[in-house]
Amino acid sequence: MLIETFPRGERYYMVAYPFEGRLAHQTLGMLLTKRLERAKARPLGFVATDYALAVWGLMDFGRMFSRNELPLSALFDEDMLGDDLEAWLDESFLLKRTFRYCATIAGLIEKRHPGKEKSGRQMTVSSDLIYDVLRSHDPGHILLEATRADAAQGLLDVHRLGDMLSRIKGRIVHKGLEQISPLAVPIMLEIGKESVAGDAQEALLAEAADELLKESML
Amino acid sequence: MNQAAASALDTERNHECILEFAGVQLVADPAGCLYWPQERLLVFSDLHLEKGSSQAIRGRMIPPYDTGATLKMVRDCIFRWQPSSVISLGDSFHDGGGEGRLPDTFRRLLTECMTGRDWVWISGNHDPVLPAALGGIAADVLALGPLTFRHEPLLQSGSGEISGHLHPQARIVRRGKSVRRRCFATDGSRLIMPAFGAYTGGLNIRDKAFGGLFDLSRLHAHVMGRERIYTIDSRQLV
Repeated sequence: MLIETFPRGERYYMVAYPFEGRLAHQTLGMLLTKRLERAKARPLGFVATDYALAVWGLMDFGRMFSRNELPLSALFDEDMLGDDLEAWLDESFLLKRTFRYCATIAGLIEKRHPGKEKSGRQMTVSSDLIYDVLRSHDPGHILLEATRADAAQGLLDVHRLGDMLSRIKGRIVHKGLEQISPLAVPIMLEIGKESVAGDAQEALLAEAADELLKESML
Repeated sequence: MNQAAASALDTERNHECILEFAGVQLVADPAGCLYWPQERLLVFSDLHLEKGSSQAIRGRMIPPYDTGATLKMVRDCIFRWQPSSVISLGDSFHDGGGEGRLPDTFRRLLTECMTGRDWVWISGNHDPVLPAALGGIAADVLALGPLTFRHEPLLQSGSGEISGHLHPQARIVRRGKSVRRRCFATDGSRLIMPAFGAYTGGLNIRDKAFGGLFDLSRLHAHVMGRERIYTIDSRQLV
């Protein structure tokens, strides 16, 4: 499997070409960002198409791979389908989004209609808040079960991903590029659809705070 | 200050942010409460207890665990700071009947938080009349040294007003990515606290509801990060 890394703008990109379909790529994207986050590579987001998967972040992925700080074989190891999957699902945006559909159907929350938006302070109780509270106090709640079931069926395609991971073992080719490759252009046009919470967000806040510090020292 | 509090302060010191405000030093805790060391006073704003059950009465069955989640965070903060007095800065209960619906376990948790310290309930728009059953002192406004505590910020308040009500949030966009978090908003003469309750949303401090309240050239957002406060200049906020 081919993997390309390149910088663009103020971010670093990694594009993989597994050709396993959007669902499997999406699952792979969630799991990879989880691992990258743990490896302190500060991923910011990912996007999946039917052919490829792009992940971007604040650290130079390519350099981390070539210096073996983050071996590609470890990054794409099959064991990611175990704990990582569970852990990611728990705090994932995809799951929160699925939960929003479930909660809307259950009548917990109302859809926002154009022209009738309420301010954030008002209570269209945010489904995220409900999701977090349910998760910590009632993890077996029927809506959470429904969410997981929906997600496993509609969003994950775990089986196909497992086959792919065992097939590519030891057959990953990494190309560290100076700039975007022609192959990567289509997926780069898809960017901006999925986001990763966590360290990267904190890093952006810290950057904004540093700016103030710099200014005050001038 | 007792031993536990002293060591808690040591381990936590790096994470809090000390604000010079109206001539006193206040500590903004990343959990969303405000501590005034000199008076050993801890302030929470907009707890909105029993918001979940309040919605349920109106037919919207959202999970009722918010009170427990909020009170446990309150307890953790009180344990960390060991204050001699606590102010709940209004909208402590989401509606007038909130106190009556408080389940026994949470009532005990609240009593545990209140025991051994002075407790002041400032009235808010959601809870204009505070229930007598819980104890503590009820007040509309509380003045303490150079500071004035009230729920809803007044346009002509003078310096040293600490309020809540508006649930301030700060939003920044960097590298094409937006981050939005609760924050303490202050321009040095007025401070608006973030909402503490588990089910409370937030309002961007660029919203027109904040219009005229701050001297924008001196406005800073002290943003609640996961483990620390990030102080961000108002020019960076969107």
